[in-house]
Amino acid sequence: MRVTVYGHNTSALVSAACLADIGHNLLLVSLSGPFNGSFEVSQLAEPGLNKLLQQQMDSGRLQMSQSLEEGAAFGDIQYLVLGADEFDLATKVAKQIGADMDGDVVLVNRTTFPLGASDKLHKIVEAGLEERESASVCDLVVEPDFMTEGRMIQNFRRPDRILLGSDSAEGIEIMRDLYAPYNRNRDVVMTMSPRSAELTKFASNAMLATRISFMNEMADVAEDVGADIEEVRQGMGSDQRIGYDYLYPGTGFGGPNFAKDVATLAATIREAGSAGQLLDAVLEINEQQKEVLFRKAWRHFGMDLKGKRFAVWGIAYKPGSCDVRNAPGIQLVETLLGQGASVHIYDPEAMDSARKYFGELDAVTYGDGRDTVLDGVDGLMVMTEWKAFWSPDFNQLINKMKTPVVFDGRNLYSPEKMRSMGITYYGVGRGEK
Amino acid sequence: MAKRLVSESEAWQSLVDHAGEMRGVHLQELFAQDGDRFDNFSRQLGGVLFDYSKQRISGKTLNKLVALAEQQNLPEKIRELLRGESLNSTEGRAALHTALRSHPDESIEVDGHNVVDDVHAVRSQIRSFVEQVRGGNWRGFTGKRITDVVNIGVGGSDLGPKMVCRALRSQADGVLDIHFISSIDGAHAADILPKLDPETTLFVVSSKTFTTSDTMSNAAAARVWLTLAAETIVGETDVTPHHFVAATADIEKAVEWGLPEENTFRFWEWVGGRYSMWSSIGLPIALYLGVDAFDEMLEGAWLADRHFAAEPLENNISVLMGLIGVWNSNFLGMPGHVVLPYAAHLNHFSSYLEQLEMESLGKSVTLNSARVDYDTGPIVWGGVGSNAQHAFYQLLHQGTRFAPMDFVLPIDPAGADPDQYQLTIANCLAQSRAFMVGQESDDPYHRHEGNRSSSTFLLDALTPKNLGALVALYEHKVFVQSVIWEINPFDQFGVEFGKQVAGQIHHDLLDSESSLTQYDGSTIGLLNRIRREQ
Repeated sequence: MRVTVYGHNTSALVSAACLADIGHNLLLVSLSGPFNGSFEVSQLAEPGLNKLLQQQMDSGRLQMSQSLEEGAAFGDIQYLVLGADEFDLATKVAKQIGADMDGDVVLVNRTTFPLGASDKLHKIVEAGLEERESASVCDLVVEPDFMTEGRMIQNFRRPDRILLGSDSAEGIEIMRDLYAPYNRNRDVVMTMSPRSAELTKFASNAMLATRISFMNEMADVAEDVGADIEEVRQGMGSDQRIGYDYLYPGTGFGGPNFAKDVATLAATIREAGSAGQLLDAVLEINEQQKEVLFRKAWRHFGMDLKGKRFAVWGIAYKPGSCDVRNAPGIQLVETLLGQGASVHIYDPEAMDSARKYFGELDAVTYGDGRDTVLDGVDGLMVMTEWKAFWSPDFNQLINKMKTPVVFDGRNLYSPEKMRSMGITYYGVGRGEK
Repeated sequence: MAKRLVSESEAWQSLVDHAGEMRGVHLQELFAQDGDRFDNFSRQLGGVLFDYSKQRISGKTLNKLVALAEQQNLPEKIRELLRGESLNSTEGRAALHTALRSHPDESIEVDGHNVVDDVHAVRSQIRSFVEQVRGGNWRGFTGKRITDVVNIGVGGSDLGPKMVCRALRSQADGVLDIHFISSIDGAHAADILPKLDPETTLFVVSSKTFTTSDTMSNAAAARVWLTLAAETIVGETDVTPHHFVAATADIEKAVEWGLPEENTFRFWEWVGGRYSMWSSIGLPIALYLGVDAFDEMLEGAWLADRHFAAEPLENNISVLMGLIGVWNSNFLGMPGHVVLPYAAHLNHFSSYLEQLEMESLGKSVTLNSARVDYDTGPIVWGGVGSNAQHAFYQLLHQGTRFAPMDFVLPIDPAGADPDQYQLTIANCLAQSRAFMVGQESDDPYHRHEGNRSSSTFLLDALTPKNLGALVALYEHKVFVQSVIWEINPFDQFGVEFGKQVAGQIHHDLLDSESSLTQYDGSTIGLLNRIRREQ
C-alpha cells in the first residue's frame, strides 16, 4: 500500500520505518524546520531506529519529502503522527488532503490531540472533497499511540493491542490489511468509535498517572507512620487486581507527553462542566513530588541551602532517554539554584540536553562520569534510575563527598545498608520504625 | 494677641454673601445658562476625568473660592508640603508621602538628608523580595513555596493595602492569595487561619511603631499557630524568619520580636499611617499584584503630585475638590460627604477615604491654637453605589438633610460581563442625574426637588495607575481643606487619647481586684457586669 506519514518526531519515524519494513511504500513528510534527511540526535537515540531507517531508505520503499501536495497525492493511507501541540499544522495537512487526494483515502490520526480533534480534521478533508465535487471517500480512523520511548520499534511490531476507532467498516478493513504482518500471532485488533479511541488514550495515561500520584501520597504516609513504602508496594503489587506496574513512588512523572496528556484531559473535563477533582489532585501531588528531594535537603540543611553543592545523578525524565523536557530533575535543579545552591550534573545520555537547557551558568557544572561529580559535594541527589546508578562504590562515595548525604529519589538503595556504612540516607517513603 | 480666624476674613465673608445668591439657584438653571458647562467644569488627569459640573457653583463662585485659597497662601503651602517642610507642626515633623512616589532623580531633603535615596533603596528591597516570593524561591519551613500572604495590621496599615488589593483583584494573576487580619478581638484570625496551610503562608506584620496592640496581639497569635504546626510537622519551632516579615518604622523593635533585619522593610517617621500605602506598608499590594502594578500605582500618584504642584489653582483638580468641599460645607451648609464607587471591587474605597478624610480633618483648633467657629471635616461615608441605592440613597433623595456625593465610575468592565456592566454605567449616570433634576409631581410623596450636588470621577479603567492617581487626588484635597481651615491634617490626638483610656481599662480588666473609682458611673456599671460574667 501507499502510505503518507506526516510528522518529524520519533513516533513518526518509527511508524514510517516499520511500515516500509513490511513492504509498504512510504512517503515521510516532515513539516517543521529545515529537513534534508537528517534527524535530531534525540530521535536517533531510539534503539534500532537509525539502522532501520537507513535500511528502508536504501530499499527505496521509504522516501522523504517536505511537500504537503506530494504527501496528499501519494498515500491511500494518510497517517498523522504530529506533536500534541501541532493542531494548526494538522489542519493545514487536512486541507491539503481534501484538496489533492486521489481516489479513496483513509485518514489515520495517531496524534494525541484534545478530544474531538480527529473529527474536526476529518470534516476539513470532507469539506475539501465537497468543494471540488469529488466522489472520493475519506474514512477516519483514530489509532492512539501507545508506544513508549526506548521500546518503540518493539511496540510497533508486537503491539499489545491495535486499537482502531472508526465508524467505517471499510476503513477498518484497510487498516487490518495494512497491519496484517504485525497481527499474525493472535488478533490484537480492537475496534470502537473514534471518540472512544481518543478517550481510551487519555484515560489510560490518566490511570497510570493516578497510580503514581497515589503511591507518592502513600509514600508520604509511610514516612509519617514509620512504614517502608517499598515493602508496602510489594505487598500491594502481589494482589492480582492491582499488579506491580506503575506502583513506584519517586520524584514524580514528567517527560514530553505523559503529564501533558493528563493535564489536557483534566482541562477537557473542566471544560465539559464536570469537577475533575481527581486528576487535578493527581497533577498537584505530582508538582509537589518533583520537589520531594529538595524538601528533604531543605530540612536536612536547616532551611538554608545557600552555598551548598549537590551532585545530581540523572536528569533525563526516565532511563533510556536523553529527553529532559518536563523532567523532574530539571525542576529540582532550578529550585536548588533558586536557593543559591550549585549542582554538578551527570547523566549517561542526557548531558547535551541538560547543557542545552541550562546553558553556561556558574552554579551548574556538567560532569563526565558518575563518580567524578561527587567530589566535594554536600549531598547527592539520585533523580533517574539508570542502571549505572544501582550499585555505586559507596566507600569511594563517602571519600569523595564533603558530607555523605544521599537523597535517593528512586529508592535504589537499602536504607539499612546505607546507615550501617555511615551514610545519611533519605529515600522516598522509607519511614523509620 | 488672638489671630483672626479665616471665617472673619474678607474672602470668606464674600463667599458668605455669594452663598446667599446661589442658595436659590437650581443646577438645571446653571446648565441652561451655559451650553459648555460640562467642558468648562471638568478636568482630565491621565485616565481620570473629574466632572464637577453638577456642583452648585458658577464661574463667580470659583473665582471667590480661588481668592480664598490665595488669601490662605495655598500655592506656597503646596510647595512647602512637597518640599518636606515640617508641616505637621503639632508633632514637629514633615508629611512626605509624596516623597514615597518620587522618581529616583528627584531630591527632597529632610534635615539635610535626601530621603528619595532611602525611598528607592526600600523600593528595590521590596522588588527583590517580591520577586523571590512570587518566583517561588522563598520557601516555608518544609521547603514549600508560599501560596498565601496574610497582612496583619490595623488602620492605615490595613485599609490601604486591603482597599487596593480588593480594587484590583481582577488583575491578580493568582500566584499568591491575600488575606487581612486587623480586628483586635481575634475574630479575623479565627476566620482566616484555619483555612490556611502554615507550610505555605507568609505573614506581613505592618505597624509603624511595632507596638500597636491590635497588630502585635494578632501577630503573636499567628506565630503560635505557625510554631505549633512547625513543631508537629518538622519538630522545629524556630521558623519565624521563613514566615514573617515586617513593614515598620522601628526596625529594632521588629528585630527584638525575632525577625532578621533582612526581613524588615522600613518606612519613616514622616509617613503618616493614613498616607502609608505608598511605603513598605504597600508590600502586600506588591506581593498580590506584582511589583510592577505597585510601581504603576505609585506612578499614578506621582502624576497627581506633579499636577498638584504645577497646575494653577483653577485648573488643579485636588484644589477644586477641596474648595468645592469647603463651599458645600461651610457656605451651603451641607453636613456630610458621600463616596459612591460604581464598581463592586471598590467596596473598601469609602472606608479608606473615611480614615483619610475624617482622621485628617476631624480637628477644631487652628494651627494658632484658636478654637474654630466654623465647620471643619464633614462626616464621610459611602459604599458601592449600585448597592447603596438599595440602602441609604432614599435619605439623600428626599430627606431633610443632604450630603454632596462623589461618584466613581470605571468605563472598562474589568472582567465583568460587558453587557451586564452597561447596567452599572446606566445606574451611575441615572443617579447623579436624578439627584440633580428631581421630578415634578402632583403627588407630594413623589415630588423630588432635585438640585442635589455631586461630582463624578470617570476612570477609563480601574488600573493601578488610575487608582493611585485618584487616591493621591483625595490626599491633596484633604491638604487643601486643612489649609483653608487652618488645621493640622497630620496629627490624631483624639485617637491616641482613646488608646490611653483603653490601656487603663485593659489593666483593670486583668486585675479584677483593682479599684474602679476613677471611672464614671456608666463605665463602672459596665465593668462590674463584665467582671461578674467573666
